[in-house]
Amino acid sequence: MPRELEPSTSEKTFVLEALKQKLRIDGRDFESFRGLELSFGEDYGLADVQLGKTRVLARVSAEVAKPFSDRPFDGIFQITTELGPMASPAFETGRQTEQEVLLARLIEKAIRRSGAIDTESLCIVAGQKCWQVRVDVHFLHHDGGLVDASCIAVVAALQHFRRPDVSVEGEKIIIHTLTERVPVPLSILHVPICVTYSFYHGGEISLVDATLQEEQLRDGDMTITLNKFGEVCQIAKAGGLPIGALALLQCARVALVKVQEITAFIQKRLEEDQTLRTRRDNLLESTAENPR
Amino acid sequence: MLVFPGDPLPSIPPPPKANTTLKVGPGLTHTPPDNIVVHKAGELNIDERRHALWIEGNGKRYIPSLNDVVIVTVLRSTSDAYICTIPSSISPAPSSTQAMLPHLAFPGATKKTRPQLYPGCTVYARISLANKHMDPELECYDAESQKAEGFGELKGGMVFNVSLGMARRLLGDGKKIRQLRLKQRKVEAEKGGEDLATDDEEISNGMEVLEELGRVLPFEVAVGRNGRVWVDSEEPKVTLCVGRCIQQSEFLTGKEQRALVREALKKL
Repeated sequence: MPRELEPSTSEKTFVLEALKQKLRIDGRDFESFRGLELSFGEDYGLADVQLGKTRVLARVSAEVAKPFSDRPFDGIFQITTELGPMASPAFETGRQTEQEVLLARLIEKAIRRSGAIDTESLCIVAGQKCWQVRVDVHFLHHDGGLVDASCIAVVAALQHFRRPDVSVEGEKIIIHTLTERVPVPLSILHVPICVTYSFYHGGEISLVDATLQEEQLRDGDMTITLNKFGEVCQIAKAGGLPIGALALLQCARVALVKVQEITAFIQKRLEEDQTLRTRRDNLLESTAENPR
Repeated sequence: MLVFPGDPLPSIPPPPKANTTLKVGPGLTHTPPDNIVVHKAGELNIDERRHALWIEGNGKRYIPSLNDVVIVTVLRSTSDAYICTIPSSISPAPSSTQAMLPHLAFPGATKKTRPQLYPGCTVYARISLANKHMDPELECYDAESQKAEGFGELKGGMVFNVSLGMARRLLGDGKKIRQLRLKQRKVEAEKGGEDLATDDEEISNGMEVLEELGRVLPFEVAVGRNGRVWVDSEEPKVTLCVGRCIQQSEFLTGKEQRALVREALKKL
């Protein structure tokens, strides 16, 4: 099985020594993200996120399914993540590595279990028909920060997605095509964003958005998920270094600023995309909302 | 001219002298008797004087070939050789491109005086054996003089990634290519009846950045054809500045490279 190549001794000592002198290899300061790029596809629900060299693609799709019998009023919402050799030659298809399981669980916890999507609104007929919304995350290039990038991709794709409108007449359910009726956006309750911290030199130094090289050399890491209102959705810290309460608080405070920036960025891109679409498809007349 | 895998070649100019054999370089496959097919995307270079053809690509995956200088990392030691890996410029390379560095492949080495290398060491070496179906072998001395000539362990410093094309240019291939390009332009300009504005630095030879940096900063540098550049200096700040300048100068012209370096030095 191909393994990720460990950084050589000279790289290791240099990176750690430079961090002591407050220098990062790519010239960022400790608390800044790499350049973030976000673009949307031709169809609804495709988001392409570039965080430095890391590139993640998220695709949202919806189909009608039978709800789970223990939750007849809820729709189904799934996120699938798979690390393939496309992202890095160190990943193999088919076999789940520990990293992959951790990543999938983290994304699941951050977005699905924090209730980012109102699953009740996906119900069509209680106990019989509901929407099954599925997000497929594809990793195109791995240069660290997979969690942060995929979280941004998923929430951006979910906000961008529109599902076909449905009308129920007695027993009959009609699904209207996208041209027949204006498609409906998903009801999103809040937008969680992950910020990953990496710790060095026994927790003295903490970095935001580490590159792959920095990730390989870190002593410990922690992922905080917040929304722009400062509500903490989850904190994931699987092993590594012990972090004091004050340091944690400080991290969360910095993360909030980052989260607000990123949320605003996603919103800006969504609006740009919307105006582009309105002009292209002549959608100005076809809105279902009434002016209030 | 840009070519893609499977493309047919344009008509090859006749050799300058009779009986000169055509030299087919990297990126091209020759199937006898006289069929040449492109197998790598890149720019086709034709050197009429030497009657040679090759493709100049800018890939990231390194394929070992004879007499290339590379920067490798030691993985472990066996009874008679160090097992090394040749990393490509994509950072998370799998350890599959392994190479052998015999214990005695150092200048003047005997069983007792051989240098001790530990796992994780960075070594500057030359490929002494490259074969399609075997792991390559490395040597740490110059083929002609049998002396170290800069090969051996690289202590301290930092290794930066660049693309393979950039690494070749830093090693001096850029000058050759630039001359070819200038010649081509001249021919084209003469055909069109235009005057060619000769700007020497419009096409970079890839080394302006090092020349400009070397004028001001004291530093050591070693370039491997596998897309790795090792830089060392007194201070991490200087090392980082040099490494970053090299990485950023890839697509710049000579003039822009000099401007970039001046800008970076101001910040330092």
